[in-house]
Amino acid sequence: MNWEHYKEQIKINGEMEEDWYIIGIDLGTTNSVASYWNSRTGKPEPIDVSNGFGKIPMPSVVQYRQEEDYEGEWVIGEEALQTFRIYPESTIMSVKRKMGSKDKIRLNNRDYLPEEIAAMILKALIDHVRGLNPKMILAGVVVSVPYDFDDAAKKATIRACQLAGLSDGLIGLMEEPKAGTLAYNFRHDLSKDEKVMVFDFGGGTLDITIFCVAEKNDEAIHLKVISEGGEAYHGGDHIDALLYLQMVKWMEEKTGQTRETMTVESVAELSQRARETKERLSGVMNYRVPYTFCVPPFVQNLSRDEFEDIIRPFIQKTKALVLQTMKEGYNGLINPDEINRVILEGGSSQMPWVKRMLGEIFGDIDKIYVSEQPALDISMGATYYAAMKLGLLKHRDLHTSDRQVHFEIPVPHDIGFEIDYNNKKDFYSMIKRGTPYALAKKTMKFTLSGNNDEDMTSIDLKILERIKKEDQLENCKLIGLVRILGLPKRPKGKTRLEVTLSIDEMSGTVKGHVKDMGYSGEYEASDFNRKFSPSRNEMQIIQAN
Amino acid sequence: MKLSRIHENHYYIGIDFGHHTVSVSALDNRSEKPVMIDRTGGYGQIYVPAQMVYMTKECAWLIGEEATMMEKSQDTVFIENLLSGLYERRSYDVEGICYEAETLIAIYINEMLKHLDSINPNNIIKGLTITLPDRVDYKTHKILEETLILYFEKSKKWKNKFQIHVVTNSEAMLAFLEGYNLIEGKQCYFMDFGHEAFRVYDVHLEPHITISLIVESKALSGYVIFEKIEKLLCVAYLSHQNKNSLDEEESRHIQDMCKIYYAYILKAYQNKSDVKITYKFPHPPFQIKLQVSELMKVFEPIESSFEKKLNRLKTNDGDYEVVVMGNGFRTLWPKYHLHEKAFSILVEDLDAASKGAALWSLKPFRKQKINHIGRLKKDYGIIIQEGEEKHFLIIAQSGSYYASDFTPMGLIMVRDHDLSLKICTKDANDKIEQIMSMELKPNNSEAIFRVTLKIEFDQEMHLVPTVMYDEL
Repeated sequence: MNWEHYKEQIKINGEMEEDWYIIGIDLGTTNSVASYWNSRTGKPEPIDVSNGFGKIPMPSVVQYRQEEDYEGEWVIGEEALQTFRIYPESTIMSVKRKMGSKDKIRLNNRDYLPEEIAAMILKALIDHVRGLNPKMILAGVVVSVPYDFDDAAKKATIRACQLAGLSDGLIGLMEEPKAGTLAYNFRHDLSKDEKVMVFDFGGGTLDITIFCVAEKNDEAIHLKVISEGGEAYHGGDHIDALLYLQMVKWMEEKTGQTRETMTVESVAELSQRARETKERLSGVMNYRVPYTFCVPPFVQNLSRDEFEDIIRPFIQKTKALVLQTMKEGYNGLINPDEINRVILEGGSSQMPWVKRMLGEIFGDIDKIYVSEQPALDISMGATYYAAMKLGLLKHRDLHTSDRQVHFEIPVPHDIGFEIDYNNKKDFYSMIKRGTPYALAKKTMKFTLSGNNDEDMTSIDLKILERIKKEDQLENCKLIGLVRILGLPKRPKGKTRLEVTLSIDEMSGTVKGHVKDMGYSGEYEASDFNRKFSPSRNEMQIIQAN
Repeated sequence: MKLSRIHENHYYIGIDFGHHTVSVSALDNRSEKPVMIDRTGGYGQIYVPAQMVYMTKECAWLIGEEATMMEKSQDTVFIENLLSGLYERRSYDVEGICYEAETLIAIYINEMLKHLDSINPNNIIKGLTITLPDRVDYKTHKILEETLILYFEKSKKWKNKFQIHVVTNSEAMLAFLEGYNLIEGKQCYFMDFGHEAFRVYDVHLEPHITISLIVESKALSGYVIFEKIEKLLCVAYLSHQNKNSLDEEESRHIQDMCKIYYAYILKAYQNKSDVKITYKFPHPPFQIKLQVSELMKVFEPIESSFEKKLNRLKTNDGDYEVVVMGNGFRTLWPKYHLHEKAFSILVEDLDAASKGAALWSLKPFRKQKINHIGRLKKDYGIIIQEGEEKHFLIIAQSGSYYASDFTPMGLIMVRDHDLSLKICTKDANDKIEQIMSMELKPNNSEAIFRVTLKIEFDQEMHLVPTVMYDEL
């Protein structure tokens, strides 16, 4: 049974059965969190994987252990993170950054795709939810993805959900800053026309979303995303990498030991120290970094100011990404004074320079709000969304007994084709960024031209995604290649094809449709009429005859 | 239907100030129900260590985990045990300035409230209630309350004046029960399985609200469990490293590990499974396995002692409701024993004290509505001779409950003139009165001998002193 069945049942019964669970999952680069819909309180509740003894989020770390004379075992989460230095070669961190790629991860004498590793994280989270109620039935699940995830990464995430056994309940994917926005909306009273920037700065990505309260009256509140920006590979991990390089330099200066002679264990220890140093310098002004693996061991003092100098280029790029998001609003430029508040989400936003930098951009530090629970908001927002989809947002505390919540989500990137016009290749945009998902469907007619029979009976549709407005064709990301063969033989320029591209609202993935139109009465249309699902990993071949 | 709500910028705060951790709640502006405030934003522990550090170069205070991190750093003054400092009226020298414990608590709370400026730069505090363990007397409450008012009067936050209250954990719990409409002419037990002790309060809600402590055991506490875990980790480390003792650095690392592994070890004991422990600090790091049999040897006596305490409680042969609080109840076995003894859990919100305090900030109970019964009206102690001067040494402080687990006192006695112990009381006017004299009969013939004096009270509130002769 899929989630729509449960939706129907909820509509009929007016409530959800005790064993049905609605889950929102934040599959993060560094940490992952699952929340569930608590029917009693009418709110999402994060699952505390430590059972109240430690931290709520589960580190997104997967480890395979094979001790002599023992069967191998998979370890996921905090324990895998804690023992990273003992098993550095078989511990996988930040797998999210590889989603959508064909990179193989070798573990247990087998190659794994990133989505297979991600599936283990998802499964571990669901097992924790099952700990609450062993009879749990998954009625609906929404998994969050970064704003900047391309089509291939989204498809890999869906595949990870399938491998984790979530297919039946999967409602879809949701972009992280939108989940953060939704969570924030349900905790705060926003006024009509208020513009809010959600600055979601995680371990792997920076997602920036600006939304406004387009309408608010006694019946409804209408939230609308008016700009999105950021970068999929710009997060806390990159700061760790910059700091790591500097820490290696100190080691070389102090001990004469070189980077090349470092053991795998020492590399693991130093990279963990880099992350720890970054985190500690968010709270204190100075930190003494211990180099216990060096001979002789030593301690390097690092102040917060020195740390910020090391990562200065990264800070400047972050600032540029904020300004770009404001410049490229869906309806034009957004000025800093138009933004009423900025909400900081994500672990990396706790670094003091983030607030300072945003305070400078917006000229008023009092506009910068830190979310109450940045580590948990994304999963809670995803849960709200899942509950909305299942028709459950009726609790009085949410103030929706008398007010409907509408959330208009636009397509984040331009979607289109590679076209060849007068021997010049270019990107042709079909669906423009900023188009609401509900309207994200566009049809175009193309005329086939060529020099020989092969050109006139076949065509390659190269479907692309333009992440940044200024990206040239070579920087566009491939969504998939569809090769159509066996089209009716007609003279040059006498075949017209109708191609439709659409975006599935719930998964954010691209789908297509192609149809032979013949040629304006001169040539009858054939009955060729096919759907396609482009994939980066595999070219789809369609026979038209 | 329009709902009445608290303004988004208005905060009603409750702070549970414990011996080792502090937690903060605020009323949710939509539901008017209290929610925990997490300084770490969900990335760390919601409970903030009750530790603070003064950084002499920066002339700034840090609290909680940041203070813990800086404990061993240069140019810092590290302070902990603030609560003990408060009721022992301790003062602290920080860079030549003398701070009373209550002033440090005010500084701590102010630092804690700075988090509100981050989550809402336009916040206005409308009410602040601090809840302290019940053993802290009202005199101390008053001192802290006045200090907080004096402190905040000078701060920016006072621009919009707000009410400050200091209440006991039990009072905060009552506010919690009222806030959730759970007071319905009942009686119940409040069970607090905290870091310092396991305590049971008998609470009668009608016709008048009365609270009395009926069980207190310091041997059954988070602190004792922590010590046992520390010992387990030390023994396993020394055995692996083939060493006899820990150096200072190793000892500190193992204490840090205890905080990480506390949960793992208790969970493993609960699941009756082995637990793997990773020692990351030595080079190379290593991992050992603690067998479940070792865990059972350590924790079964604690569990059994807990069960015995429950057996002593009256349940009127029927369902008896309990309100549980304290981190000790996070493990499953205490709740298992409660269910087994037919107690039904009325409230199972381990953060109910801080949440109740937040509700108190919105709607304070009148103190006189709550009667604390079974509390000592005088200090109990002994007279000791120091040189020419005689001092009264308090063992049981006035305001404490009769059922308190008073800390035993070790005394060195001189055979020639210390063959009796005079137990006295001291009233509010400092009038000292001898109420009992105990003849001492040491079983050796040394010139000096050592005894430990323990004070208890029976159910009729009669003094029951016990003397133990210790080896010198």
